[in-house]
Amino acid sequence: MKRFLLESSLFALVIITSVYFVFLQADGKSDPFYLRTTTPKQSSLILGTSKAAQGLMPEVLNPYLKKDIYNFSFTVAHSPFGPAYLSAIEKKLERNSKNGVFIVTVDPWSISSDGIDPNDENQFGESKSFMGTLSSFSSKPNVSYMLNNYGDNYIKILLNFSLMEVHCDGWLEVFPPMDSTSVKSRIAGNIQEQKAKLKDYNFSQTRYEYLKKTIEILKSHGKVYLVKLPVDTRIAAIEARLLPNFDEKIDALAESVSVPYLNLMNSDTKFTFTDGIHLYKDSAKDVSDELGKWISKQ
Amino acid sequence: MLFNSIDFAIFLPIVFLLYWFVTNKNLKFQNFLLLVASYVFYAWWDWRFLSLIVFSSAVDYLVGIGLSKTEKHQKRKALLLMSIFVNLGFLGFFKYFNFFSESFADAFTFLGHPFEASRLNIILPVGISFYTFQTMSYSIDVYRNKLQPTKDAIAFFSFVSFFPQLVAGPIERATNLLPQFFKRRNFEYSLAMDGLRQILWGLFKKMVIADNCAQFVNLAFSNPQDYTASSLAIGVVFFAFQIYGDFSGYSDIAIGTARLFGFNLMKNFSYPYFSRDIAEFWRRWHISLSTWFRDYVYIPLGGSRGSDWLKVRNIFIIFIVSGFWHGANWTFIFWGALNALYFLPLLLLKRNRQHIEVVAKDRFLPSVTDFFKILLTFIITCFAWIFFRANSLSSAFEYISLLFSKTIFYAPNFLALNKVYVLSVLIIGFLMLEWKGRETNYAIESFGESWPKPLKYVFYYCLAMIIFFFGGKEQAFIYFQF
Repeated sequence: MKRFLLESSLFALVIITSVYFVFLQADGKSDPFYLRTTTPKQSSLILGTSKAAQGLMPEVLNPYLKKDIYNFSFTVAHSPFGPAYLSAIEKKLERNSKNGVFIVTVDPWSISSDGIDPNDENQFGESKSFMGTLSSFSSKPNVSYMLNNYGDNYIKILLNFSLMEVHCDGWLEVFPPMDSTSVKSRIAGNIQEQKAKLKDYNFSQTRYEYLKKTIEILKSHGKVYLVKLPVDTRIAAIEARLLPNFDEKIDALAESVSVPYLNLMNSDTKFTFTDGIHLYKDSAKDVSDELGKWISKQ
Repeated sequence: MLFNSIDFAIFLPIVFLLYWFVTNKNLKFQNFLLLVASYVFYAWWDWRFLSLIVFSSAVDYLVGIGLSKTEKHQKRKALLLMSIFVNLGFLGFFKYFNFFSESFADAFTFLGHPFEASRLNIILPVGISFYTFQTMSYSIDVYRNKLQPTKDAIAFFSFVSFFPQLVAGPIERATNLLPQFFKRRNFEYSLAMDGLRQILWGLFKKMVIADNCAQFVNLAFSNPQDYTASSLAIGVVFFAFQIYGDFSGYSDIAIGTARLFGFNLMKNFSYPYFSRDIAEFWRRWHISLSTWFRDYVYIPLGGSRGSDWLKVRNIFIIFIVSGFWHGANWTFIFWGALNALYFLPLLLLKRNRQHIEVVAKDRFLPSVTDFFKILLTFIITCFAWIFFRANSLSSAFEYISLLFSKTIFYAPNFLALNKVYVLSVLIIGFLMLEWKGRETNYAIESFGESWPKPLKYVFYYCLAMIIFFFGGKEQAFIYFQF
């Protein structure tokens, strides 16, 4: 028995050590979310969905803010406003920080929900994802994320080949083909997909309340700015169908919680999108620059 | 609790240490520990359905005692029928109620008397088809005086719920497994190492082969119209490996785990894809179920004795019942009937037992004839798997019609085509190991037997790392739903 225990324990130890070592190699190319669950707690955050994840570059914003801001945005499936995202934000936030900057991006999808009752938070899908289940968003390696939420074969960690990369500051850079045919095809696909989603999605008062609650909590840690990022006009038209009075709602919210609101859909700059929804990196730079200037004027 | 989960990786060593270090002095304590561990293992999925196992065990335990107390034929028969009624009653209610209800409604509607089928919102308890068959085998064997009934309730309840094989077999016979609960188990290094080796191989089959194949199988069978026929062909072949890797992988882990506790479970798979005809395939696939049906259904029906008509009838009954055991869907019945059709010519021409020995015994490669026989058997098996995997008969026929189209000559159009290539290489490597080990209980049982120990450990390490690197997303075992 001793021999068996010794040999099997040693074998298990070697395997566990190897696995741990591989997890340590995971980086921004391994997974679109993982890196954001491993970086230290932050005092300034960019929040929102994939529009913000790809569209706001901390590197460009930092000189305007005079501090380091971290992009903690995920996707509309993982980080719409709700209990899970709020809890994740609280876990990522430096508890005692007071002078932070928080850019909260909003759009109709992030305050809407599918399901029979869009106000029933028990039905919010993101609660079952890592957003709702992960106990830490600042451990390296994040073993829990790797074991339960990593979406690909682990061999990908070592292959270092990917069509996207999360940078150390949380910004998600994607490398899609940008020839006009590919872009048109992706836009057409998204238009079709978003139109189909319209049937299932409705405005959620509960998510709206969580957005308000999130802003209020963040206000105790610093300054909060509400932002609506630009999208292709055809996508904007679909969003308007989802929530026709979105702007009024956000204006009212901004006023009630006393935070400034910038609607970049009204910008004069012409932006490039990879798929109608997400800004291409050159435009992400322009948007971040415009936002930085606006914040510094506040 | 899934074998391929972190929960089980923690659970197993705890039970192992308690078993050999805390309760090892007393057989009853050991059995009791196994019983508690088995119930915890099952309750991890849904504790409410534990009551079914307890009730089913209690009924068969009492039936056994009752059978030991009477010699009267009528009374013994009544007791046996009670066991069968309770076990099949559970199975019928939880697994088949909605199927029968809908099928009757469809039939009446077809005959011009439409009515609404009443559906119950029932969860199928995991493993119900396995443990009910296992407990029934006890009552039948006691009834046939092949086995002495036991009065040791702990041992009996442990036998019914023995966690390594509780939810997906092998479906053990009381004559094989129950006596092992009465014997003192001694720890043996070589057996335990063998158990770990078989667990490792089972995990490879499940996590690398089955779970990766599942991704493409799900795509192909969900939207076959989106794919070229060549992709659909890959989908079917991958399903053949998915179901084999999934189920035989589970059996390997079950047998290996049982061995860690000093138990020997029956072999459930014996390299079925190296079979040279369908009869050989069925001697090598899900052996515990095939032999169960053979002993408790086929032989009592007359088996292969009697007129040709009786033989045909019996073969159809056994295959259709076997298909129906897998699930409450016409697809499984059709799958069973198709296999009966494959089997019949062999039976009628008395050629169903021409391949008893393992293929290419003591040789490195098969003969050309054997190779083509294996290939043909694999192809017809794959064709039948389409019915097994499809959600309905119409989906199966749609899949087949799309499969036999000119796009079979087009390149496969799965998005992650590079993954298909990597997976194909893994499957080829897997098949080579299986071929090399085809005369042993499982492929790597004696692989590298003559190697120095450090080299063997390097091989196991590589295998473990392949499981880690290429393991697909954690998925439940297919046979849990049966």
